[in-house]
Order: sequence, then C-alpha cells, then structure tokens
Amino acid sequence: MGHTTRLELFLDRMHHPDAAVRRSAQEELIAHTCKRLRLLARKMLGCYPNVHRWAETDDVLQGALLRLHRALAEVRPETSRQFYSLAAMQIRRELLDLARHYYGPNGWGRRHQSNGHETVLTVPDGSLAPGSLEEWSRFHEEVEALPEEQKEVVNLLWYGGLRQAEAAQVLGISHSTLKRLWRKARVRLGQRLEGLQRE
Amino acid sequence: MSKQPSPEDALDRLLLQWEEAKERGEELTAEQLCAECPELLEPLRRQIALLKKMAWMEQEVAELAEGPQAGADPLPGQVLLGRYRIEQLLSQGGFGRVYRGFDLELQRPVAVKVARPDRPLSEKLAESLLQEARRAAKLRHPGVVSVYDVVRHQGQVFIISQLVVGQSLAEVLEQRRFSPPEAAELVAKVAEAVQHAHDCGFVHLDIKPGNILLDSRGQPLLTDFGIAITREQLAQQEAITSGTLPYMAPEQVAGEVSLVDFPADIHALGVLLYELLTGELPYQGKTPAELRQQILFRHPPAPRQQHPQLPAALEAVCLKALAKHPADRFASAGEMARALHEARHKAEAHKWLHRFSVVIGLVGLLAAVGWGVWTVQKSLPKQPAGPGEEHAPEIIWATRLEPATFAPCVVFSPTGDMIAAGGMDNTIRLLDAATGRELGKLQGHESWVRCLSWSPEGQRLLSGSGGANINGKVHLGSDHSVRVWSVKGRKELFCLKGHVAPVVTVAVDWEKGHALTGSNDGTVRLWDLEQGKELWQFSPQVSSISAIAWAIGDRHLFVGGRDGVIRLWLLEPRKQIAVMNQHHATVKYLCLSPDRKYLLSCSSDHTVCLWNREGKLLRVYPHPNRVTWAAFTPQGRRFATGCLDGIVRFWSLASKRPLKEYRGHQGGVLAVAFSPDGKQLVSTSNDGTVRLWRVPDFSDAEHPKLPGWSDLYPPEEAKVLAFDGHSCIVTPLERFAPVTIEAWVRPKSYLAAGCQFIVGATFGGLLVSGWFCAAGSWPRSGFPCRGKTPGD
Repeated sequence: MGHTTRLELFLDRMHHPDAAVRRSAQEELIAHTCKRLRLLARKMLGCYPNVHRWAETDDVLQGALLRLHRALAEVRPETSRQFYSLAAMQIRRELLDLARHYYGPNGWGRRHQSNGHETVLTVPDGSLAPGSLEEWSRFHEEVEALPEEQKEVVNLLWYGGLRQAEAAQVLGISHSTLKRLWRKARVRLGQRLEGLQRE
Repeated sequence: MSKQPSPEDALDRLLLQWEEAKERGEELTAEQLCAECPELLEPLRRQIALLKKMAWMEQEVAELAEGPQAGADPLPGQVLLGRYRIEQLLSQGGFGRVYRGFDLELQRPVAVKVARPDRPLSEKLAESLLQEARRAAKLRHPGVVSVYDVVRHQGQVFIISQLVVGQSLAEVLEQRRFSPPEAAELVAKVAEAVQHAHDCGFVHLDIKPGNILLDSRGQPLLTDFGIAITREQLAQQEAITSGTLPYMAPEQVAGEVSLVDFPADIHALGVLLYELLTGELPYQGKTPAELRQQILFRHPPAPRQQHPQLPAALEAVCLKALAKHPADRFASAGEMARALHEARHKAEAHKWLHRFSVVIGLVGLLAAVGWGVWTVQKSLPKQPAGPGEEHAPEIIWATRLEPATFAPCVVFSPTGDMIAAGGMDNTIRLLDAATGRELGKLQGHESWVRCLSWSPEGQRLLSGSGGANINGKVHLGSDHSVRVWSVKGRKELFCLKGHVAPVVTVAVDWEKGHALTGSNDGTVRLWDLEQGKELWQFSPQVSSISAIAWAIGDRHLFVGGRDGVIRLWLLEPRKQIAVMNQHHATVKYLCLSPDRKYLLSCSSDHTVCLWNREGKLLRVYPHPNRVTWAAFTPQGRRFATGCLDGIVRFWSLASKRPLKEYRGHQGGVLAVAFSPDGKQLVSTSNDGTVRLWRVPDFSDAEHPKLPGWSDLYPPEEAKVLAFDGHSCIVTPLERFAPVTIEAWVRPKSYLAAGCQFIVGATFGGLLVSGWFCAAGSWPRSGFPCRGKTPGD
C-alpha cells in the first residue's frame, strides 16, 4: 500500500467516533512525520563529524521531535494535503533550528577552537548541495521563499518523502504538472543557492 | 490560428525533453535541443546546468523516498544466467546504470551495464545496446574496455564488461590539470587504442574525455562504442549525425559522409590534446551554429599563444591533428602516438634544460635584485614620478597614496585639471592632474569611499560609502551614506542616510539634482540633492546590487548583481524589461557610452560584455582576470578596462584584442577614468598608486587594411565580406569585428560582380558546393548562415 493511501486511511480514522482509534491514528501520523524529520536531520547532521564529538545528536533531535509531536498533536488535519503542508512546515522549522543550534552565533560550533562552523562537507564538484550547516539553513530558508505551488511540491517530495505519483495525487494535479513544478523549484533554488555561494 | 508559445513555455518544453531523455538514459545537450531555436540556447544551458547542480535533491528524494518500493532496486542480488551476480550500483548516466557484478564462473569482478531498469526497454534501444556490445566485443586491447558478454534477461539487455575502478577523464579534468608530458603520454595511449580500433575496421567517432576511463593506476581505457561504425557501414554512406559537437571533425560537422574516416578520430584526439594542454576547447562558439562555423573554417588559436611555456613540439602535434583537411592530419592514430612520444621526450628534455637555465638565471637574478630594489624605490617616489622613469613612454606620472591605502574609485574633474580618488581609508583625495600632487583631502566618511561623481560645473563632488576591513576581513562597515562635498571649500555639504549596506554605485542627474544609488542592501534609491532627502526606493529583484547604470534621459536603469545577472528596468512606469544573462559571476561595474547606445559590463568572470540599450549582447571581451572597471572615451567608440592582472587595457568597440595595454601597476587595477578630452587615462590599483597614462591616437591602427577588402567596410556597417582568393571575411550581424574565415575548403574560383561573389569550393579534390554571397548575406546550403539578404 502506498504511503498516501495509508495516510488517507489514517486521516479517516482520525475522525472515527471512537477516541482510541482516533488517538492511534494520530500517533501513527505523527510517528511517520517524526521518522521523516529524523531522516532529514540525520542527513543534515550525520556526516558532520564534529557534531558527533560535541554532543549526542539524538539529544538535540529529541527536543525537535518533541516539539514536532506537540505541534501536530494540537491540530486535526482534514486532508492529507493539509497534513503534509503543516508537517513540512514544522519539519523545516525544526531543521532550521537544528542548523542554527550548531553554527549560529551562540552555537556549539562557534565555541570550538578545533574548527566548528567552517567545516565543509565534501560535496561533489559543481553541486549546489549544502556543505555546511549554514548552507543547510539557507537552503531551508530558500525553500520557504519559493512560490506557493512550488513550495508545496518540495514539501511533499523533500520533506514529506512522497513519491512523485503520490504527491501528484495529494495535490490533485497531473504527474506532468508536478514534474514541471518540481523542476522549476529546483531551478529556482539552484539560482538562489548559486547566488548565495557567490556572495 | 496557431498560437506561438511564449519563450517561457518553449523553454519549459525543452527542459521537459531534456529531463525525459535523461530518464531514458540519454544525455541531450542544450545545443541539440535548441537547434531550431538558438535564442533559447543560453537560458536553456543555464537551466540545465542548474538542474545538474541540483541533482543531489533528486537523488536524495529517491534515496529517502518511502513506501513499499522505497529504494528497492530489484537488480542487486540477482544472478543473470546463473553466472553474473549483480552487486552494487556504481553509476547512473547516459545510457542507464552500471553495476559492480561478479562472474561466478571465472571468479572475477565485472561491470554490468543495463538500460534504466525502471523503464521498459524498446526494441530499438535493445538492438542498439546489442550492436554496441557486439562492436566492442571484437576489440581486445589494454587501452579499450573489454566487453565479455551480452545477456538478455527479463526483457532487459545486460552488457558484461571489464570492471574499471576509477574515474572518467572528464571527472578528473574537473579536479586537476595535466602537465604537458602527462597530457602527451595519456593522449598517446588513447591514440594507440584508437589505432587498434581502426585496425579492426572501426571508426569511434565519439572520442572525448567522458568516454575515456582512467583506472586506479591512471591508465586510460577507451569506452562507449555507442556510435562507432565500421568502414563498411561508412562505405554505405549511412548518416553520421551523432557525436559530440566540440570534438567533431570538420568533415563530420559538414555531413560529408564520404569523407568521414579514421582521420575524424585523429581530429578528436587533437581536440582532446588541446584541451589537456590548455584547459580549454579549441573552438569556443557560444551557439551550435557558431561552433560549427568555427570547426569548419577557423583555425584554433595556437596553444602557445596563451600558454607560451608549452613545448613547441607538442603544439605542432596538436595543430597537425586539428588540421581542417583530413589529408593534412596524421596518416594514422599510431603515427600520432609516435609523434606524441617523441614530443614528450623533447618536452622532458626541455624541462630539464629549463630547470638548468633557471638555476643559471637565479644566479644572475640575485645579482640583479640589489640593483632592482634600488630602481623600484627610485621609480615610485613619494612625489610623482617623471615621464620615462618606468620605461613606459605612455606614463605621465605615478603617485603613491599617502598614508598608504587603495583607491577603489577614481574620477576626473569636468575641467580636467583635478582627479578625485576615493580611498579605503575613508578619505577622498584630490590630485593635481598635471603632476599627481595631492591638493587636499575630503574627510568625513566612516567607511570606504566606493563611488564618486563630479558635478558638471566642478564645484561639487558626490560620494557613496560602505565597507571596512576588520582584522583582515571585509565587513559591511558602519557608514552607508551618500555625501555631497564642496570641492573648493574642501568640506561636506550634506549627508544622505538610508541604505543599510554599502553604497557601491551611483549615477547622478546633476541638472535635476537627482542621485540614484545602488547598494548591497538590494535597493536602488533616488535622492533629491536640493532638499537632501530620499524620494523613493525600490528593490529591483537583485539580492545584492553590485553596479547600476542609469540612462538619465530615457529612464532606463541597468542593475547588475552579485548573481552575474543584469536587469534592465524602466523607471516610469516601473517595470523590468530585460534580463541580461551572460556573466556567471558578480557584475563589478556597469558603464553607459556617452551617447547611451551601448552598455559595458565588467565581471568577476574575467569578461567585459558590450550590450545595446535593449539589453542584447553584442560582444564579449575576454580578460585574464577579474575585471573591475570600464570607462568609455568621451567620443564613445573606445574604452578602457581595469583588470586584477594589473594591466589597463584600451579597446576599440570593434577590436578583438586590446589596442593597447598599459603595464606598470604592481597590483590589480581597481578603477579607470578618462580625462574630459580623452587624451589621458587615470588608473588606481591595489599597489597603492594612482597612474596617469597618455592615450595615443588610434584612428589608423583601429582599421587595419586587409587584402581584398571590399568597400563595404567600416565594420559597423558591413555584414559581408571580402574575398581575396584564399580567405573570406565576413562580419556577422550583431558583431563589430570581422571574422576571418581561413578556408578549410579551397576556393576554386570566384567572380566578383558588384557586391556579389560566386565561390566554388573544393575539398579533397572534389567540388563540394557552390556558394552565392551577396552584400549583407552569407547564404548557402549546408553550412550555417547568419546573414540576411539585402532586402531584409
């Protein structure tokens, strides 16, 4: 069963008259989003050696997961689209916080003589893949600044972890429109990241 | 009536085609996609480049995608025909995927190549894969990737081949340069492999860095016989349209099937050698049409022109391989390999000789240094230097700023008797234009002085400020103001504040009392100088403005940004009317010609571009380093550029090379300005000096007389061309300078009838085509043509 189909079932269950069913559905939804946050955060922090040295990443991540859990527990999304949009926003916010936590003015990286914030990950030549937490933070900020419909596609594919066909279904658009928006979003993000890199 | 798609839609469609091809495993180039619409080539190329740079997002989306099939590649773990176990995905690209595999029978690692498993394999693709495998399977050579087997399994075709652990030459080239002996050795080895393919009756036709793998020991192996064809097929004159344009031989480009043979591969080896030696391709056309034309007609610049240290013997091999006429190239790839080995030995001998001479030279140098130090101290005195002291007759004076600082901007007074230089010590210095002596200082800014404008009556000076150096790092500084000064009174008249980042550029309409400022804060602001207040501001969609140019009369505003893009805005009604994409690094400076017909843009990408007022690119002037500044002569037909290589260059709009180079600065040139009469040129540099140069009269030198020129010249007017029996000269539209077409074809005869020419051209003793050229045109069949007929 595809993820979205499962999600629709969860959403149905969230409006179930039985409170226990509702609760379990909500837990499942939140668990899915938290899993996603964990994946993305690991991606962002995982190959960042000094972070491991400074602290147990999971402690920090745990805090982020708790906040995400709390935020999602407060709402009752009607549709999977609503849910994803909300979840993506929360994930992005948490990732930004995580990035800033390490490299920001008072971040742990700043206080370490041994290198800290300027450590740059090895990214392939020419790629605009964020190499440092600062760049990750900019990436998330640039996603936030995308036009609404492009942002929604990035939300679903990147933050939500849906496959293209699922995302098109959630948004109620054709696969080709989804691909076009996804492409435009990447080009736009590329332009912005390139500009920032030059600066 | 069918509706013409907007450029955006058209671009969208092309990108879709590109992506779909990519999904099918084909790599289409922007040139191939834009064959019908060359105007979209640049934006398409840019967007494709961006998509490639952002491919990580797609890969990670795929990696992190969830669901039952998440990341589930069904192939690893499978065993083909009970013999080849597929283990791990190695790469994904042009054709599909390459896996590391293991031959269970022979107990050896293999590479398994397969078309994208998630796409159904068309019969055509299956057949072409099989053909490729069959072709390559016949070749056995240490320099050719061996194909072991072809397997059909569940509707897919798998090619089992030698596993090369390493990188492609294209990947390696992105990381490092090759020394001349290394380049010679590598190309020689590839040439030997090519010779083997030729001996087996194959012409590869797609030799390029991407198709050469370097194993863990750095040994090259030729791969991808995707479009190779046999001589028999050639004899049947099957069409040869594939290949990679920059590496194609003239006869391939011209579609002269009967002439395509082994020498086409030798030409590609020549291109490869050229690229390895110089780091650049021999032909650099911006559009496929231009590139084709260059491959057909232009001789590549000799590698030693740009890199004089290259061994002459290697250059000779390279140029021989690149000969336009196949018969002028090496007789075989093997012969080229031998010539390369020989040239390599010579190069190594040359290197040792060079080292020896360096040692000898050092001894001499040490003796000279003592004298040199003394001379330098003499030639850069605190007071202005006298003419001739720097062995450069064009220098009038050179003066060092005291206390030591750099001047990032400089301007002549309207009367020509004074020069103002804005310094990084927050001070504006007024210098006597006749002697270079300092006349006074204007102090008040609290950050660097970044831009200046002198009022036409000479009484007032306007300056913009921002930037500071704190512990060796550049910061925004605290002062982002615009100040107006009384030159005579040497005092500040008033200060305008509003920008929140450095004011880097200013354009002033002194008549109206309006100043337009551009700042790194991304805003352009208009100030009323009479009332000393801000009138309006707007953000021209540039995150960090680095330069502006304001055509005061017609309200056109050019805004350059750190993203390398120049945007043309109309101020009333305020709208963006053009986006000028050419530079790929910060636009450092913008400068309008006095008649406002042309715009010069200087960029950190080592180029200066000439644009017309509609934002159309007319010409690119390459520089060896970042270009910081440009200034038009008062007449507006010539200009000077300041470059971080320390040289001030003087150009004609029509010239391909600088008319003159002013050498003397010991550091990068930061700013240049002409005197009001255009006879003097002032430059500032990060060597801490200001220099004044004499501008010679170039009226004759600018229009060199060439044999056989028709009266259609001067170049601004002419679109075509002259013909002297050996070469054709044509001025393509949109270009100022003539392009000399050094004929690869041999003109048989021509007839001049008024402004018309009829040319018969021969190639390999065969009359290949008849050309008809009229004034303003270059029409003919087969070859690309950019001209218009006289009636157009």
